[in-house]
This record gives sequence, structure tokens and C-alpha cells, in this order.
Amino acid sequence: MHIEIRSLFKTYRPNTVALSDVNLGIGAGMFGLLGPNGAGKTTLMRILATLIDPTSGTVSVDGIDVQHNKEAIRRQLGYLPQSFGLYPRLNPVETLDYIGTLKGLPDPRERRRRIHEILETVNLWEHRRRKVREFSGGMLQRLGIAQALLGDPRLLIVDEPTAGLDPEERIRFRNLLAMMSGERVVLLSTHIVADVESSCSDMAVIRKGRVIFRGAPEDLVRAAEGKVWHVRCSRPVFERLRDARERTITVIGAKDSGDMVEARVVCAGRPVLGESASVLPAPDATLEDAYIALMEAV
Amino acid sequence: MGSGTHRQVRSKAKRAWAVCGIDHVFVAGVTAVVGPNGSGKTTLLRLLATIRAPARGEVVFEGRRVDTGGVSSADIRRYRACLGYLPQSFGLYPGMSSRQFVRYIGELKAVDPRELDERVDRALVMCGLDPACNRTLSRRSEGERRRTGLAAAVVAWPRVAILDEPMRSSDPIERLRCKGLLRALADAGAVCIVASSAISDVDGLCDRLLVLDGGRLAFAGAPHELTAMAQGCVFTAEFPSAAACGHQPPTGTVDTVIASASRRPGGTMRVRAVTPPGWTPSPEWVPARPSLEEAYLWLRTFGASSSYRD
Repeated sequence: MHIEIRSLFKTYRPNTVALSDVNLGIGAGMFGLLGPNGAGKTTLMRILATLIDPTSGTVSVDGIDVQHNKEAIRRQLGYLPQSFGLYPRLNPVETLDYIGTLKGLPDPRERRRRIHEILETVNLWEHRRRKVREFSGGMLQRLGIAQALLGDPRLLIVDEPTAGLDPEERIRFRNLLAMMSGERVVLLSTHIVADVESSCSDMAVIRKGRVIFRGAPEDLVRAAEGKVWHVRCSRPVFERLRDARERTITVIGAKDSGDMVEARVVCAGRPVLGESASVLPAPDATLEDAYIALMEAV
Repeated sequence: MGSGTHRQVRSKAKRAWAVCGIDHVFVAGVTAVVGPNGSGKTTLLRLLATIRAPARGEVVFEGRRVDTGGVSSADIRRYRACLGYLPQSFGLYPGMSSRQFVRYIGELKAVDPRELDERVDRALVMCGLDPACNRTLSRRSEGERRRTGLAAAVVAWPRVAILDEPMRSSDPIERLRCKGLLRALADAGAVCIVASSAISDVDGLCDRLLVLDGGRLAFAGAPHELTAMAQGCVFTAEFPSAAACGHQPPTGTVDTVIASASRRPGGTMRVRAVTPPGWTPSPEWVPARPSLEEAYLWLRTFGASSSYRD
């Protein structure tokens, strides 16, 4: 499965540019989409999910133009939006049965077989008799993935799936997505950079409707080499650094260490802080550090 | 300066203790409260903010009892006056702009009128909001509303800041700004207590970490102490495919837990696993340094209070 996005523009009237000249090729595996709120991630996903049309440009899935073949694309598509409605009094089997019928799985036996298989995959089979209103956040997200998987889609689009999940649920959920990817394209949009770092083989960063980075997570981390520093200095020096008008240094994290401050910072070159400060390159730059370096144009 | 709060609180909700036997002194700095959903984080914060009364135990601030079971309402009022609180969900005045709302709260908190406008603008900017924006709250995004609530909670530069999920729905740069704000508050001597369901929200920020489990404290200490506990228990390996790593998604084998699984561009599967103490790795597993999130996962799965058995 391969998605080709060419010269994609989307403008909302009167003159809000949501996407500007987006060009992306996405292959099988898990693809992470990062970017600030309002950058255009959801707009891009909704275009791919055939919910809205682009203003100009093309999106094709395995050579089929998305805009003019919506039905064909929808048969291959599973979409988990940020918020989705469920009937609280149904149990997961009934929920999937209902959605499955709507999605065009007409044969009841085949549907039930598929539902059993999917619920096992997302670890909800043991809860099949419980009502949806009793489900925890993590269980609801897994049911959301289950409904997205009903048609055995080759393209799975998942929008901010881990917001509000606790750490274990989040880890379990992203592992589940990683295992799902296989021959599928899984497009994941998230604010939790750690989710992209731990499960995506490919990613893009979008800001103000434009793609400002495209590559593997490790490529972005490599681009941040030499920009992440570990600093140890006195409190006044730290406060001057933190409150400086010219934002040449961005503080990622800081903590007190006696009457000194230890901080992790992002800076284009070696931070100049005076003799009493110790400045060392941080050896273990994370994807989040690299994302911050990119966004702060360091 | 450091104001200390000492408490032993219990609160009854339905048939189970939501918070049980928590005994902790919160000092100046940032204390993160993490744990699974339903572990009592919000209840604990509500007790500390005197929104709810404990069934047993006390909340004490600077030597004076301030929970609503205490005797002196003057003490409670004094505590609330220097308290900034951000609940997990709250109804904002939908017809107000962010600036109007934060100003309103500032007035309620008796911020000096001569400084009020400047403090309001400063709070908004520190939360990544444009003071000149006139959009009413009903027309702003969830993340903008949350940050408005955060700005209101800090406008009076409180001595105790109790914040329930302040960074939810925020992107990484907004989160960084929020962390900077909390750090600045803490450095000025405030007791900051932050509940979060994402470890990455508090990594690099908190001086102390409380892990709640079923209403009880499963861990209280510095983040590096938690990572030290998981030292030697995190391993990484690369497998030719998902099937070859022999781990059923999403829980790993019976004796390990997968912390992350990622398909590399070459088609291999890189896996990081959290393992019980004394686990002997087969040759493909290489020891790795635990992240705070993995240390948390280790505590939840194999820590003393977990139900894991050898």
C-alpha cells in the first residue's frame, strides 16, 4: 500500500490556509505526524479519510485518486478520529455488529467471526459482555481501533489516540498499533512525541500547513546532534538564560542541585554562560529534544 | 521559604476508598502525581485544594489545619487565598475572552489592582495565549481553554499551585512553556502539585514524584530514585519480524512487558522490554538504561505492591 500526496493545498473560506503545498509519499508501516495544534494534521487526515476535499493537488492510494473514487478508498480505510460516539448500553460485540453492518459486512456469520478475531486482537474479548458505559478510557480506545479494523483496511488513520490514557494504557495501545502495521499503512497523529519515537519507522512534522521535516525519527534526532546540552550553573545565571529576550537557548528541563541548577537545553552552538558554568553535550538526545530544536529553529 | 503541607488523608467514595492512608509532606518545588486512571489523583488534588473534605486525616498548611474538618475557617480562608487550583474539567464563562476570565479570577484573588493588568498579560503569555485575542472561550480549542484555566490558576502567583492535567491537549512546545511556568513558580518558593496521566509531561520537570495505585502511595521520591529501581531491568533487542520476537501484543510474554515496539526501516522490529528482577536474558537482549516511563511501568508490573509473583 502506498499513498502519494502531491502539491496538496487546502484553504477554508475566507482565507485560512490549512495546508500549503504538501508533498508526501507514505509506504507500509507506522507513520507519525507531529506538529503544533492548528498546524493542519487533522485537515490532512480528514482529506485522506475522504471526509473533505482538497482545494487543489492530488492524493492517491495505490494509484487511485482519492477525491474521485471515495467509495473504493473507504473500503480500504479504517479511521479513528479524536472523538467518536458509542452507544453506552451496547456491549462491544453489539457495537461492532452494528458498525459492521453499516460498513458493508452483510453476512452475519462472517461478521461475527471477524468480530471475535478483532476483539481478541485488541484484548477486549474477555469484556465482550460488558456495556460500553463501563469501559475505561483505554478500553474505549481499543474498541475504537476495533471498529476501524472491521473491514480489514489497508489504511488505518488514527488521530490523537492516546490523549487521556494513563501510561500503561498508552504503552499497550501503541504497541498494539505497532503490531498492526505490517503491510498496512498506519498514519498516527499525536502530541506525545514518545509515541512516535517508540513505534514509528517514518514521520513528518507539519507547521502552519507546511511539511518542515520528513524522514525517519532517527534522522530528526541526528539533525539535533550538537544542539542538546547539559548545563550546570548558578541560579542567577540560569534565570538570566531562561528569561532572555533573544531566544537563542531553549530550556527543556531543569532541576535544583544544591544551590546550582542543572538544566537540559537546546542551543544552535555551545551555550556561552561564563566560567562558573559547566556545559557538556548531552549524549542521549531524544526525539522530543530534536522536535523542539526543529520548532525553535535552532 | 518553602511552605510545608503535611497530610494524612482518606476519602470515601462509593464502596471503596478513593484515597487511603496517604501521608506526605509537600515542599516547595514541583511534585508530580501520577498513576493509572482511577488511582485517586484527582481526589487527592481535590482534598489538597479543600474542594472535598477527607473522611479521616488532615491537610495541614504552615502548621495550621486547612481541611474543612478543621476548626478555624480563618485558616482555611487564608490558605485558599494563596492557593491556585486548576481542576480537570471546569466550566469557564463561555462568553468571556481568555483575558477577561483571567482578569476576573485575578480580581477574586485580590491581586493588587495596580498590578493586575500586567500580571494578567504575563500569565497569558506564559501560557502561550495572546492577550489581545478577543475570541470568547466557547470558540476556543480545548487546549486553549485549558491554558486559560492554567493562566487563571497562576495569575496571583500562588504559594500553592494544584494543577490537574494542565498539559493535556497541549503540543510539545506548549508543554515546554507550561513546564517553564511551573519551574518559575517553584523557583519562587511555591509548592506545585501536578497530576498527570503522561509521564512525559513531568519528566525533566518534577523534583519529586508520587505514584498512586488504588488510592495508596506506591512510590514517593525523586525521579532518579525510581529509575534507579528499574536499573538492570530494561532490555532491548532487534528481531527480524514481529512474529519472530515471539511476543503477543500487547503484553509481552508471561514474564516480560513490552515498553515499546517499533518497526525499523529495514523491516526488523526493535523491542524494549521491562523485566522482573533476576530475569536471565537470552543472548539477543541487551541491557538498556530505563527511561522514567519504563521505570514507572516496571514499578506497576513488578514493584513491591504489584500482584506479580515469582
